[in-house]
Amino acid sequence: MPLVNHSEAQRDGAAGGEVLSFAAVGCHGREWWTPAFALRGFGVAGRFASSALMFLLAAATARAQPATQDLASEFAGRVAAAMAPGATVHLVCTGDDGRTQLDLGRSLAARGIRLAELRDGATTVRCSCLENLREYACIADIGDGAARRVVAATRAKNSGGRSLPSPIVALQLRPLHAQRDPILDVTMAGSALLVLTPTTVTRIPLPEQAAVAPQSAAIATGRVWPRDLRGHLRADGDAFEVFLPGVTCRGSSMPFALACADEGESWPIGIENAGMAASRNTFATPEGFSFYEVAPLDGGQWLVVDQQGTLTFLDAQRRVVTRGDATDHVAALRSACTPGSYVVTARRSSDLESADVLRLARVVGSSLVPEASTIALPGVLTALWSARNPSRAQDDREAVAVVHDIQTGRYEAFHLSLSCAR
Amino acid sequence: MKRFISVCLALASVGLANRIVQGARPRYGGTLRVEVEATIRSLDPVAATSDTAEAAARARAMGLVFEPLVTIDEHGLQPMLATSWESDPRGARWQIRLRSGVQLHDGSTLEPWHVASALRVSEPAWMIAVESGAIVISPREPLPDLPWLLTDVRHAIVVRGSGGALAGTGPFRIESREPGRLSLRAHDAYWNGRPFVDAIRIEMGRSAAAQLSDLEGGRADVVAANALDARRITQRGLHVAASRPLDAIAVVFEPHRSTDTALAWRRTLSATVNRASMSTVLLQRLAEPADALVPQWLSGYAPLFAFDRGTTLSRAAIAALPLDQRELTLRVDASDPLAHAIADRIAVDAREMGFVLKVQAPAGLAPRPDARLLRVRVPNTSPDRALAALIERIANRDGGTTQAALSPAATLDAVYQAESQLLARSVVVPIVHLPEIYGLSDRVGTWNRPAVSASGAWNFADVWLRSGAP
Repeated sequence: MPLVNHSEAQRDGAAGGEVLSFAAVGCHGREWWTPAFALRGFGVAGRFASSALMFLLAAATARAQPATQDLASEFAGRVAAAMAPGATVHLVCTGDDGRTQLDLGRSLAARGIRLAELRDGATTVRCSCLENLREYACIADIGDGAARRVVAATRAKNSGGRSLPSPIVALQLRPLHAQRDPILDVTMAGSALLVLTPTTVTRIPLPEQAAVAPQSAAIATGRVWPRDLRGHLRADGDAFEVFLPGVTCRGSSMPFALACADEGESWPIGIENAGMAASRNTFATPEGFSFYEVAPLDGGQWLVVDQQGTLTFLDAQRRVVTRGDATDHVAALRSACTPGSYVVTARRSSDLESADVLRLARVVGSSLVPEASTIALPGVLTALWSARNPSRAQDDREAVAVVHDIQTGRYEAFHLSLSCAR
Repeated sequence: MKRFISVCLALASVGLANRIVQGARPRYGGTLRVEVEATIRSLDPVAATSDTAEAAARARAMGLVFEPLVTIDEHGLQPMLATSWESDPRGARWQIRLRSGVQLHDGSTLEPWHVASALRVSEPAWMIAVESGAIVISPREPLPDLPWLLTDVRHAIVVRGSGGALAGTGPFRIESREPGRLSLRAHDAYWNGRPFVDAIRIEMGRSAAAQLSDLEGGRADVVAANALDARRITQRGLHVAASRPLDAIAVVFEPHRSTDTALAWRRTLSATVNRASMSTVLLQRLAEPADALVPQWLSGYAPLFAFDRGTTLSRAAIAALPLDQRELTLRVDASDPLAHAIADRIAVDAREMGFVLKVQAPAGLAPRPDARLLRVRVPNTSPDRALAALIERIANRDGGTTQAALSPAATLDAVYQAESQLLARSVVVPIVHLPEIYGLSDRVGTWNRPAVSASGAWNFADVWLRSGAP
């Protein structure tokens, strides 16, 4: 049985124990990461600039090449072979923005076929390069009447059926990591980036340790994950913990090891909680107040996203003080370079239905004051976790944002922080 | 001054609130209320259906309860209960490996023998065995594209228990069946994550008007709709969900109008139809103009049919035609208001060129028409299978005037040539491609994927309800 048509790993990586591959393949690969991500210290200005520049360059050069373009040469060869040497053709291609017409015209000209603007005296070649569910296909209908011929060049789709990478939009965020499989959270542990997915924790060494291959460890559990699965990582040096609904794992980055148990624990999110229920996507305070996300504020207060998707201020006794805007996400940000508490919230972009926009706001009493400009994300924000930066001042708060670009199927993790340099 | 600052802060906060849309983090719970026109008598995929409407509704509901080994999404073949498959080069013997740890609705674990038993019911002619934990299928004839065949709803894996109980692996299990109502309950141990809603209630036998009324009155969350209703739905602040184009609307000429001598006449009539206007205005951009039978997303070559190929008659030539050639009758299904509206639009276009086209929607016996407006479902599958199914369905309804040969697993150029051959005589004239359209209430939210997939399948496992349960 020589033909392996499909493997589960191509689709969603749901199989237990699957090893993910994270090659630093740059902008032309399906996975990318920023070589200068240098999370150690969560960002030096120079490294940030380098990272952002690389990101911008990648965005400019990594325009996704449609798979049909891969067929161009083969297609041109077949069309040329169907013509008499030195034939004159009137080329009419359709179904795209003129790219096929241009590419095929050039290729045919290189093969000695003459192109004519007018139909008179020339053989009409009608063509298109598109796709169906089975394959990418270029097809040409040559001539008319009895002399009519049809030639096609096709390439079967990967039965895993993933969409091709599309251009990455440069943002004023620091990209940390991107991959096809869902990302729940990322964090630095020792000298490596840890990436949490529904099935694995993967350790990705820093670029200066590129010789060390990424390592993955499966999250061993018998639980069926909730549909809106959430997970959180917390690292302290090389040691780290993984928090999932009804499951807690402990491990070390060096040597890389992971052990999981089906036990619920309080999650380290800055407010007392009993962990996440095994088949739900919410937390609850000891008083029974359910919420999705929390931003710890000064003075022992909290801003949470309650179960109705409303921003809610809680006082030091975790009582509701006031309710405000609708959002799905909130995280606290703080920097030594500016006084005051800030939060970042997310809303759906009015321009891009499948993308979210981050908005920064300053906390004044129990109100939010919009601050600075919005930041458009390349997709839907699926996770936003506040995180302390161990290398910075104790009060600094930063965040990790995970974005799902629905158009490309890509998950991207970003580092969010306050910058006073603008 | 302090008061002024406070007011400014308050206004800024309100401004932020106004710009933030309602949260989209999914919530668990509630009952999704769905209405369909057909009455589903049985969810068993091998049970006979009374008509195409019941078959279509059953296919949608079945997809919530039972799952196939392989499925299709907009990117092509995808694994479902199977994780991998392989065959010999001819496709005479297939080996399929199952996803592990999948729990059936009765609490037991899906085993290869369950799958083998289910497939033996749906395909009695196949040799099906279990070897080393894998399912081995030897079709009667080699099937090089068997995975595409396995995506068909009749190959969904159904475990038949004693007493006729049906168990599946899908995100919902059958809770109860009452006259006119099918109730489904969330499968808590669903292998791909528990659905957000707790239950689905499908009200059957609801007329299109009643469905629309229930949607507008807040008594239903998901109802079938057509393109003519779309504007009304959105104007009321509700939502429309649509599949990719799945129905081909085509004019098929009767045998007495299908002679070769009338070729230019038929081409002229075809050319009079303003498909673009029909799609954008009449059908509210929910339809695609069709020059080919197989929609572009399924064929990969449809734009090639947009090229003008044959001679047509001038207006003067049409005016000079004998009266019996300038007048024709187009028959439509009296129960399909959308088809009637399309036929009316065709009549307007034809009249502009000098034809007199009468639309006939007979409830009983009627004079022989010159052409029929057919609405044919195009299966979302490989291009060869899609075209083969279309040819079969049109041939069944046009008395066999349609002929085009297509071998199984045909290459794309062969499929294109077959469709070219089918359309060359303009006996079958594509008009538009229509999606499956649904009206959604404003409390329907979706998570990651739309409520209605590209193929029209109900993706209600990813639907959540914004407000409290009814």
